[in-house]
Amino acid sequence: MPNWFVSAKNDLALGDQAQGERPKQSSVWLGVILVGAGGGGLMNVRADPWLAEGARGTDPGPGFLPEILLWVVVIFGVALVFSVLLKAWRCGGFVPDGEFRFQRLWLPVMLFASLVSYFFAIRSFGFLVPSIVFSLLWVPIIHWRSGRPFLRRHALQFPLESLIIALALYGLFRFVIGVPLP
Amino acid sequence: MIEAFFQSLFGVLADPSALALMLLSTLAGIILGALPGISSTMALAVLLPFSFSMDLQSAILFLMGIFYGSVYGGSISAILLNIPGTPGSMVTQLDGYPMAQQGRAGEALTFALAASTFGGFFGLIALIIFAPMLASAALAFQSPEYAVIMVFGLSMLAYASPGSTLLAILSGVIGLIIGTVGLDSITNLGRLHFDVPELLGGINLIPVVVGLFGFSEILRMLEKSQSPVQGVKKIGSIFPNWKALWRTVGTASRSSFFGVLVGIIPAAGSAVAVSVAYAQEKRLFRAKETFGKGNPRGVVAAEAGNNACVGGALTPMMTLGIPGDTMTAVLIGALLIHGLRPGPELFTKNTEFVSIVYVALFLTVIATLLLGLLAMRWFARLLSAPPRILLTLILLLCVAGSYAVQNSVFDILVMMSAGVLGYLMNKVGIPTAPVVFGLVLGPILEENLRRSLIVYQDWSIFIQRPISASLLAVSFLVLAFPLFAYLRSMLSGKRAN
Repeated sequence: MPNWFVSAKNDLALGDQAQGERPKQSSVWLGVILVGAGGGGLMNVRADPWLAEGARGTDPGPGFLPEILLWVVVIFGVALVFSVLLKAWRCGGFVPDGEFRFQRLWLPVMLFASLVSYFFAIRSFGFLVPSIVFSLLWVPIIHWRSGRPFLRRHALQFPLESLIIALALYGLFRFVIGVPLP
Repeated sequence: MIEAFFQSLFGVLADPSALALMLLSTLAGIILGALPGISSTMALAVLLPFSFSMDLQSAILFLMGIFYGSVYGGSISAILLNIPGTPGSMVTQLDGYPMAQQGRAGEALTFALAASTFGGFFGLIALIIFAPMLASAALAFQSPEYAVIMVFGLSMLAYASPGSTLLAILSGVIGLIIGTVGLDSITNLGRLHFDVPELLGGINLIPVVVGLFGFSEILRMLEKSQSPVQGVKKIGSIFPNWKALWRTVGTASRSSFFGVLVGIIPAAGSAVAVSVAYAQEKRLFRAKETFGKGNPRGVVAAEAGNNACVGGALTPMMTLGIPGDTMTAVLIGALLIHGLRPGPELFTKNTEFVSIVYVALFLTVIATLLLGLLAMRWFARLLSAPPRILLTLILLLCVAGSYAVQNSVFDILVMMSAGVLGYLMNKVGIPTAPVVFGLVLGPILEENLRRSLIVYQDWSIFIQRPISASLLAVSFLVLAFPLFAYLRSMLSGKRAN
């Protein structure tokens, strides 16, 4: 059975999907997520009676395109799951997925979590103070991640840089562009 | 049009604040484009909010400065660090870095600058010639043609995107679905809003782009510990052998031609343009073995193709409302915020805007040349600047910029969600650019598709009209081509066995 998830154009897709190689488990999860998301969307569209009412005469209605697109996602997800499982069965299992290791994911997850906290802090305290706190946290982390050494002067320099970044951006948006930042 | 062009040109030249804005934005574009990890799309997306409060002329000058400046800027890090600043400069490093290692970094930078200027002007001339022709042809289009053009655009992006065609289609479908969220333009009924009131207004393009190309890139950068980049320290003379420079005019012309041609194809983008231009030049040149070892023609081919692509990408954007690449997709978002919908009617009802785009590109190419010549050494020094300030600034810009689109905190959430979506898509090998194209083209496709069915009352209208039928046939062939190629390779494999 051909694997349609690798086009004849090249075999970059999903990295592991070239013929004869064991697939990654993440491909199955991707398929499951697609089926779940597409199915959830379809249920939402179908549960709305107004969308069916919107189809009048030859107008297929406002639910027409979303429904077709969501079906495409569901079918794609099902095909992906079966294709990958079949391949795994033929090739003797899955290969470990290097993309989803803790060592790679912990800092992006931490950034996302801190951005979520930042988002809620903006709603409660406005833009400026949470931005200063956010910068205070991330200036040293990014410095460390960029492989540069920590020096004694950084103890003063980093807070100062964080303060300047947040103040400059706030001033620029609030007073130069005229955006009423909260 | 020529009269309008010169009128706009003299208008800008007589306005010192407009000139200063254009110079500053070009400078910002060059710097951001030169920094590894910051693509032109990311630069444009995060700086876009600064244009919201500007009048249309200033906004176009500002955005074009960042757009073109960042496209050129990518070549600096490609030559000096062997890291492309932008995807479009990935081929520049093949010959640029070996030249730098041979002590000819300044020469390579000048070749790149000269080729960029040549390509920029070539793209501009192509835009000035072809855009009005395409626009006047498109004026005869009605809803069925528009609907099919959008299908054609989506099929081209599925084919031209790197990686599997099916995954590009999936990515485009995700964009189309995001585009259907909110109130339907014909019946005013809400769709896919999950009882979230903020979703009824639809999902704005800008926070999605900022998330997909800004936030997700920073998430990706944080995955691994980076070691400080060690590039070529000595620039050397920036004056090349003028005869050698003159000898590359043919290369620049051919590569610019390919740059424009690929740029016009929706979603193909500069990375494809430079690859095609470089491959063609290598094929034509006698001493093929010198390519990849510091041949200035390699630098010229890549940079001319890369910068000519700008004019090419602007052509379908301005005439049909189809973005030529992700940067022009961001520009469409910016124009919509300024109350302009790109399309053929711009050329009849808003000629002032069209001439401003021409003037902005013209002046930006000149500004890039001047800034490049004057500040080349300074740009090179900037590459060793610590990334902590810039990345933190970009993170805050992603947040503040998303908020600024509609003064809505909800858009920050959209940006974060798009960022995570882009990050995860990147991890499983799904291209993110088609999401943006789907989001731009989806609402136009749906509106015209349904309008056609309401007016003509028959699905066969799409094959009854010659233009829409031809475009549908081409779209089908484009989508089916990878399948045919796959079947052919499978059959030839069986025969060989």
